[in-house]
Amino acid sequence: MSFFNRSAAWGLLLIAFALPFVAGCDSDSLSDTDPRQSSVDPIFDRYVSIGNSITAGFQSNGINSDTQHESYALRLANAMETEFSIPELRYPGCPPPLENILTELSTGNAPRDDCAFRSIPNPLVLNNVAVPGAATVDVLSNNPNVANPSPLTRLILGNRTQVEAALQANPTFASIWIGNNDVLGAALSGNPDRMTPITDFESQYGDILDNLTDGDVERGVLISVANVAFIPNLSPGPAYAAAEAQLNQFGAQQSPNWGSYTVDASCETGGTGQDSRVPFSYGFGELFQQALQGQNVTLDCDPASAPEIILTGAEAQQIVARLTAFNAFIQDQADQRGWGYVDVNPSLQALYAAGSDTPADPSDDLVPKFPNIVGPTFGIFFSEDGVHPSGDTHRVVTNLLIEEINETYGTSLETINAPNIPAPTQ
Amino acid sequence: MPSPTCGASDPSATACVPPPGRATRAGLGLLFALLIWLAAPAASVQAQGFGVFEQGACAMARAGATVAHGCGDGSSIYFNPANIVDNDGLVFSAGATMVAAQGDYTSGLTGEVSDLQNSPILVPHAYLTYKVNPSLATGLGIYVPYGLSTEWKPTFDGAFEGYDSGVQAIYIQPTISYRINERLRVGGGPIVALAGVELNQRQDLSRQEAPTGTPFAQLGVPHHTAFVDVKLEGHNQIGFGANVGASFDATDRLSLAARFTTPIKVTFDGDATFNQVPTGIILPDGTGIDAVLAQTQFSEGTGTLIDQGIETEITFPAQLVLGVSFDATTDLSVMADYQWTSWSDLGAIPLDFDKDALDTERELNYDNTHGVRLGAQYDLLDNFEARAGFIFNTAAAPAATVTPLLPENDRTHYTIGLGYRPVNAFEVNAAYQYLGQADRAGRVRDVRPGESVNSLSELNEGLYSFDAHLVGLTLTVHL
Repeated sequence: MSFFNRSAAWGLLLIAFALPFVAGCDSDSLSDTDPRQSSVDPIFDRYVSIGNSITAGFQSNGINSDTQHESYALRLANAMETEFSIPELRYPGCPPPLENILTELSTGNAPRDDCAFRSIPNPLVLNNVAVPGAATVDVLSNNPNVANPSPLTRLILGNRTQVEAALQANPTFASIWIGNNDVLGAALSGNPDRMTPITDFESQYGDILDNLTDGDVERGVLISVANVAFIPNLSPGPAYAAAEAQLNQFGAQQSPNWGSYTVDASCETGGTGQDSRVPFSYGFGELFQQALQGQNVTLDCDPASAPEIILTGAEAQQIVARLTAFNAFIQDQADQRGWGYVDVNPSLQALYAAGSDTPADPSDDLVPKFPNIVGPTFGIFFSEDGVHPSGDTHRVVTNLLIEEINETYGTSLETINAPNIPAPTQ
Repeated sequence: MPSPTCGASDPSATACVPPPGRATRAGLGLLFALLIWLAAPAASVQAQGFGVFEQGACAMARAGATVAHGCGDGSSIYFNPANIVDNDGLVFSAGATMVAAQGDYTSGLTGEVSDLQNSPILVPHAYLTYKVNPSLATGLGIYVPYGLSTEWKPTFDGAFEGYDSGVQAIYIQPTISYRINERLRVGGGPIVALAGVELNQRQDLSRQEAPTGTPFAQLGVPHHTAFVDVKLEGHNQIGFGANVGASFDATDRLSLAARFTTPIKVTFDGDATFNQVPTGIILPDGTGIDAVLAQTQFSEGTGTLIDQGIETEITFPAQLVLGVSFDATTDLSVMADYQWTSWSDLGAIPLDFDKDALDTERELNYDNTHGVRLGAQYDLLDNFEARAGFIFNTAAAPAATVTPLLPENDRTHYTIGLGYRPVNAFEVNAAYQYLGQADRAGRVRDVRPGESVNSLSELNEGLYSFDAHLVGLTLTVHL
């Protein structure tokens, strides 16, 4: 074989086998698929929120896309700069939120039992899996024998539980605000027996966290059960006593058949029922409606004789004691698992207390102790049902969460614009 | 140009012994045809689209660069029928390629990784050639040039595009080759294609409409809620085509060649089987959807989703291969092939059910592909050869149809192999091939109710990875 032949052969071989290294293939990468990523920190790539009506964005006895977008969970996701899919409900809602609880006008003048169902397209994964009305037991079960799945559960989650839906998103971060409905029903009905027993709550709450841990959710923030004593739906007896004349004047304006509305002396400051709380549905609902129809009604705050729906001071203490125990457990779980913990109650308390030092002048109360006849019925920090926080309060809560998350995980989430609230008292 | 007819190694100039009697040849041919028939599974994804190019270990080791320089094992029936006239006597080969494919899909939505579930499979081949006289040879080949098998878990998010899919085409090709003169050979033969297809797929309740016309998605049924498992299958359907080739020895050391395989359309009369998948969904009004669907959709008489017949058709694409071979030294040959495959023939797959309401089309819109194959063969000893090669091919699947069915991209392959002929009458060839595929953005879903996209490629929300190891073995008897 000549030198030329040998050289040519090896030359050809060299060319042939160099080709693979110059030909190459153009590989796509995951970033070409617009993956869910946080531009703030990878721990926020996939954030899910578990909870009840507050987290879902329920306000004014209703929920629709507008109220859902005011949820702290969505605002927190925005601060995380991460994609956050919600089970968007079509206008006017399901049910439509109230424009004003006194007039009972709903969004779009829709009937109260209206449901416009979900917007489409459906999210590919859900990030806000919270369901209005959910108690702690409902987060892990849709079995009607042990839990209380509602039409909204089905509309938001289909056949899944909150935890199942959350884990489908393979979350890197979770927030849990659950437990309010384990005490709220008791407060609004004046029946502490309706509270979830502590052992049940601890077991259910622990199971939620264990399920998330089993699903490799390693980071998150837990939020305390809100103190029902700070919601304006439950007005103190003395507030009704102070507003007796106003009530009758307003009632007479509403109906020529107006009877009379008497607030018993037991409701006054110093009375036997001064610590009693009157739910809106009774004081401004049942009784007021009877008076509108010409009856002469009396609001009785005396624990010995008041109807069951009145939350007496002793009952309120029972409820507060229970939710305090719940919160101690939640905080302990957060500590054990290295998660963040936010207690919203000091801020709610500061809000509620603002203006209380001038009881004769309710106009400076940030949280009205008696429903406003004009303007937002329960002030700017609560929606028209007097239970659920308004969009402004969601903003406040968002910043509480941001501060705690930054402290726990060393992240740099930026706080959002929110109304100033009084500093919590230590 | 030295004849490659005696295959991997030609221990002596007299290695190619005369053929045996006709009865023996016919018996061997029938036996192996039967074995192929019984053994042929759905092949796996490996060449462009779902083409399979590993039709003999000798050719496989050279990266399939074989059109201008055939292996002596009869595989030229597929690679270039003109070359079988170079074989002496009677040659019978049989073998298989084991394909071990692995891959996964990484979701950009959740970051979760889902693995391809393919098990290693064997793709068989068998060839019989007989040289009638110095200018004429005949042969019969049975091989699987198209095959696809992709298996994912039924719970995979992409199961709604298909989770257990298979297509195969076994080509049976009687062949004749004629030497026109010292330099030019031509050959060809008709192909009887025996094809089968199977698609398993789940259907998403959220994409359906309730009787009121409201999409179930609007009633809270989550995206990708499986409510029915569909199996579509058709087997043992026949199509016809042809494979022709020509080889020209430009010099004693340089050969040029071409091969063309016609497209083959196969029409399937198959079966569609529907199995209801319980959803557990209760609509907001308290209606249990499973019972309603069972009554309205899955019951004989009123239902649409009942077992029924289905017709479909698939066109297995044409192939055009141009090749060159150069004997660089007495021991070293190098080859290069270019292949064009008309995957656009496939277009869309119509699915024509007995129940017309279900009729649909599965758009593929594959692109024609281009492949370059480079191979080399070196005689280490008189009866021992080493081979190596490299392939690059473009992808058939366009960005809009990168799905679990064919999560494909441009590929590079590296091959290596050995041929050993211990005695004149027997030869063994073995090859290994690594298939590397560039990661490809793809999708696991279709358009949702209420969603609008300009192209399905906008739904590419994850990344497919794929590679494979292939081992081929071919045994050849020279009689």
